[in-house]
Amino acid sequence: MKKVLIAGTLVALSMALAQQNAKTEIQFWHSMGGVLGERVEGLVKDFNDSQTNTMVKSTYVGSYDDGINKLLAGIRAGKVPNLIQVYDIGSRTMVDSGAIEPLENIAKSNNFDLEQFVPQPRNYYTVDGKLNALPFNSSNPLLYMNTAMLAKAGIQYRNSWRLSDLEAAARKLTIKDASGTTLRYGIAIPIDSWFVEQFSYNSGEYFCNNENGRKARASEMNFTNPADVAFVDWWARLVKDGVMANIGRSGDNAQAAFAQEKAAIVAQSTASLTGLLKLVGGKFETRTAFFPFLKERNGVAIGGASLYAMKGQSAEELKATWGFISFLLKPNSQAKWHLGTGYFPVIKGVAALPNVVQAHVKQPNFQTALRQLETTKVNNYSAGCLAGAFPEIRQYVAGAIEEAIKGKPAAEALKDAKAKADAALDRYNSAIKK
Amino acid sequence: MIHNLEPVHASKPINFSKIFKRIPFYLLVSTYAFVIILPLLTLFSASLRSDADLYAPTFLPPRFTLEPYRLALTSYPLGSYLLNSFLTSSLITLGVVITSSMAGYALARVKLPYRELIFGAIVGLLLVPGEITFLPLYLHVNSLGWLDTYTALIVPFIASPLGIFLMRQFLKSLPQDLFDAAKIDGAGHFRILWHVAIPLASSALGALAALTFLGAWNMYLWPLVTTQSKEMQTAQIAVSNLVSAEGSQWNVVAAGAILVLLPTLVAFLVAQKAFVSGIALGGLKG
Repeated sequence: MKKVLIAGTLVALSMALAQQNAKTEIQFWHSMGGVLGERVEGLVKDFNDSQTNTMVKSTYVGSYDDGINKLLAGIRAGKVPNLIQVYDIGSRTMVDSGAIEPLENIAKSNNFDLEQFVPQPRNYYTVDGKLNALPFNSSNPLLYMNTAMLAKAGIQYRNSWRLSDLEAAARKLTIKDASGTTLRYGIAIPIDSWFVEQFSYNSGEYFCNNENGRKARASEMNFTNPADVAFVDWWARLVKDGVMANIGRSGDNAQAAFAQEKAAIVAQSTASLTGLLKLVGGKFETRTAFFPFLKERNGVAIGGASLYAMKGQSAEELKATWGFISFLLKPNSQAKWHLGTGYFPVIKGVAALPNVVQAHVKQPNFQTALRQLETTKVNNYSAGCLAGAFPEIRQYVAGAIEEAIKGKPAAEALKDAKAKADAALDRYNSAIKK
Repeated sequence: MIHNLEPVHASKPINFSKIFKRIPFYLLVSTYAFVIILPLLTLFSASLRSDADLYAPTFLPPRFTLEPYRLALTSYPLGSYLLNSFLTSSLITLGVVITSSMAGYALARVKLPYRELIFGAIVGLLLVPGEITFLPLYLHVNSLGWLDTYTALIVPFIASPLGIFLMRQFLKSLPQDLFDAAKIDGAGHFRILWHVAIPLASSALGALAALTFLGAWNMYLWPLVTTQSKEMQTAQIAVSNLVSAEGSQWNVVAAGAILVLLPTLVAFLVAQKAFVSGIALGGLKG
């Protein structure tokens, strides 16, 4: 009996091993840490459990920047993953690298209808007329509001805010002591170029020329447009008046200020929703609203990151890679990802799934990003700026906000930053031409 | 009798004023030490808080909880990461100690042709920043087929110019007579190295080992780039994995950081003397 058992186990083991060997393994590099990382690993596990002949090996490769560095080294050595997650602003660089297999090619050969995609994320990752990457974790910026404070100050909650209305509300929400020191700020926004970019789009302006680099390669930045000048000027004025908290560049500070009830309104990505609600921990009610605009609301571009399939995969690997991608695009996976993180679904119809509807009723804040997306006009403003050297350019924009806060006129600060940003873009573009 | 008592009496007020004089010094040093240790204590405090208490403005957590540690250990395979770090750091340290003492001995005590030139070249290597050699080294390691193995994490670091420099300087400062005596007794180079040089240089070696271990433990970019699978990644990558771009659970991050910090902290407490003399010897480099 024992012998039979042992023999049986051995046979089973060797069969399992043989099966293991027959599996097509694909490498997936991602940059999702913390809770988001757990959610990604969860999806990978779901996929692997559902497969008999494909195995996705996921690896966390550090921040988005770390991931790109690892990829660049890997390209030199010919050691690249099958699938890699790259942030929004790396899009131009990834396309220019020539090392990727555009998603549109793979999708078409597998008869996948691209019309299933929500148009805005699809637009964002469409470069030179082709969808290059899978919009995976897509977010947009939101205002997070402490409704208890709003009610106390006699301000009606609504989801759409003109910049001037937001200023009036923020001033009302600010509490100062007798000496004029702010005890509670009306609003806090981390010093991050992303919000300046989004304000351009939402106000119907391009952040870079050639219609956000969508008609032709962007050769100049356009953040000296009236909307951005007004926004940065507004920012500096509110900080000077003690209405906006100057919390530096970290988004975590904004979340801390909000959770500690030091600021009534903060601007953050929709992807921070789960974490922020956890920090607040039911101390007060939080409502999310759309990102502000100058005169007329156009709608914002998406942020976040996308997945690129790398070139040079064998037919078998490519099939497995597509298998994983199409798994991620399944309504159920999209719903799970959306509700687990706050990123929105990129496939149409997910919001109508019963479990999503239920979750939205329970936590209406999950809907805001979706509503904001649905009401965003589909045009080249909301397609978002596509430019090389974007990570460097972002540093200059953040620097300009800081200069404005220190007292430099906003128009001048942005103009100086534009000179530096244009030089960086020039360097990038001329390096690509060679 | 009187003669004996006098110095005792006389020494008392002197001691007192000495102590008195030292008060400002110790006050200053304690303040400085406090400033240095405060972030560490804050980190520790954060690691014992629940999500909702994270930003409570108290130094001590309002309610103690070990939940962040549980999350850090269960949600992330921190154990295997720590093991990888421990293994690579230990082997790198062992390698550096062996190569440095051998090369240091050769450069200090063996009459080699072009000895000074070789030593000069090694010192010159100290000036080459790691960023320059990073990519060539990566490509080299790749062509050897070492990517995603312990070999890639260990072998490139088992010889260190700083270590050779330190050992050469230290062995050179020892009296030549000791080496001559050993030679007269018929000892070969290996015997002299093992029985004379290494025992005498144990303090320098200890310092070198401590510094090397710390440096290897803290490596981030190299292990990140050369590993391809989770199973090979090290503890520093695990800590960064706890951080999320869209807002982190800082209590869990803090717990993870404490867990990763612990081995070096223990190593420091055990080898405190060696560390201090090592920093004094090396001047910098951590």
